[in-house]
Amino acid sequence: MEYLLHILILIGIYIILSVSLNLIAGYAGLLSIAHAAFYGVGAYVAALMALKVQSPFLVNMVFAVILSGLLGVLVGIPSLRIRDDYFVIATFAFQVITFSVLNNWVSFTGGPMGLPGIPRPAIFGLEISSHTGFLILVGCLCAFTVWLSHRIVRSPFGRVLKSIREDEVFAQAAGKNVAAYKVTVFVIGAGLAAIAGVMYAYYISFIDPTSFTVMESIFIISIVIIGGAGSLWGPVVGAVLLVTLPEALRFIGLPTSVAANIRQILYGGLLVAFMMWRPQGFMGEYTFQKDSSRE
Amino acid sequence: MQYFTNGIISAAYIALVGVGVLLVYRASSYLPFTHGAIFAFSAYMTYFLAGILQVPVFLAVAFGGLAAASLGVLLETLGFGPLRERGGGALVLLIAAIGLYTVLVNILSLAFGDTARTLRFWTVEEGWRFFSARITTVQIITLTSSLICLLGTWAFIRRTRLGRCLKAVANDSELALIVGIEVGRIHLWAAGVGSALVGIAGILFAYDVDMTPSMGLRPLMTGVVAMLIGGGTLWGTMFGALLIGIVQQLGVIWVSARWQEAIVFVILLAFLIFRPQGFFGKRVKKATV
Repeated sequence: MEYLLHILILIGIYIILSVSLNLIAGYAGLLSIAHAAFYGVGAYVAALMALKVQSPFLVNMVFAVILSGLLGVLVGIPSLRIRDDYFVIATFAFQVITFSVLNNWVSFTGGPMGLPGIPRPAIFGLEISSHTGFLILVGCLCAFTVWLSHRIVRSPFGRVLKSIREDEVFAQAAGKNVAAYKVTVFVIGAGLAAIAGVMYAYYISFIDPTSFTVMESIFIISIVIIGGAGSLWGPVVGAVLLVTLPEALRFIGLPTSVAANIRQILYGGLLVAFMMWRPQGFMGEYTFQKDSSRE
Repeated sequence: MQYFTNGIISAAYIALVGVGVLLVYRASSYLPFTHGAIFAFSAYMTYFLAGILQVPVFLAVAFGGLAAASLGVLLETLGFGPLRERGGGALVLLIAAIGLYTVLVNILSLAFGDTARTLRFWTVEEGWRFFSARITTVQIITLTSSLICLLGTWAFIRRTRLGRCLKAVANDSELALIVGIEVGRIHLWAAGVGSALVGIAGILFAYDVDMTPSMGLRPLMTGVVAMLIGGGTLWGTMFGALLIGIVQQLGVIWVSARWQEAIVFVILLAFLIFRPQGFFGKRVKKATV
């Protein structure tokens, strides 16, 4: 039972991550492999505040979201000048720099040893310590993320995002401030990813840089792409699928060392297969294809 | 002086990988993330032949390079070629390449394990003195062989018919098709030669340092950075590699070895934001109508 709840909590965290990345990659069409960086910044800000200032859970979460959002501006800015694969490399660079800071600024972040002993969160005096409690909290945050994403996508703001994805020059010609839209969506996406990071830090109660690597970013973008970029429920389906599928391997009786490799082979292979036969993912509408038709 | 020679030696790897990426990126217009896996693959193939099957070193190295080239060609035939035929753009190919990279690296990890291995079966000798710097025999071999490879690539592009076709495809693949160049074959050649260069870099790296299945990611990205700084030309990429190699070593003196990687990527971000066309290049990727 505990195990099942654990899986559900993980699914919840990945739903928050992939739905927020979907806003950036699926709707605005900015393929980013820096999402684990925002996730990590959220986790570290909350953990450091909880450990060093002993500030309460909600305050930490607000700070984590704000800080991660500010970093989102930093990553959003290159998107104004460069596009497509150059932009992917820029986000990659940001990811590597963030990891490097988490890993090497030992006096502040604990470096490779990580930060142990993050206390249990308490909301208005109510301490959350059981798996069930965490699941309810993560579930609420998940629902909030999906609801917010739904609101954004159905709003005029969301329609402009899509138009930028389909034809940036056209959106600009229609009088839309493309730069502001791109940066805003990055801030929102980064802020939401920080929520997932905060939940992860409090749930596991120990964090180290290895949870926020490039491979993690690639995993999150795989969820979005396989689930379906540019659809509201695609990333949710992707998260459920990609988190549970490897767990199924456990039941076949593969040793853990092999299972980790098989898991990555599985989603790497899925990524290739989907690009080959179904680039829009399970239920998406965007295929990362804007340039080939026009150039 | 020691730092300077170290910088030049790491520039040699970076240049090989950078040019390997450049060939594919220019001819087939996608970023070959798979090169990161090929880098490790050739090193492990050499390790398998020389270390486990006891094949003579020179044969093993030759086969390692060949294996890299054939893997590159295989990926192009089975993966990127069909994807392109289905109308996949640069991003689709890049995503597929990231997927393939993940698969290949994990297969290597399943086959050989994650512990670091080395191709160096002898003890490190003191090496030669070059002004006030120390340099080992492996490093001298690295320098000369990468120079030969780079010059060879340059000659291949400039002096052979195939190389000129490759340039034509890089400039405008549609036009190249119209004048009767078999574009598909050129893609294969670019993948083969590019992968071979990366493979050689991987083997040299494994001789000098050591190898793990995921060892290719860092050189791959540094190579890409060199290519971008150089503005997408052969000489530019080599210059970029030299710049990165030396700046990394300066970083070791001024800051700390731990921050090497971050320094490279800060340089890259600065370039991407302020001068996306690189030092020499003119092509800028901006919005097209």
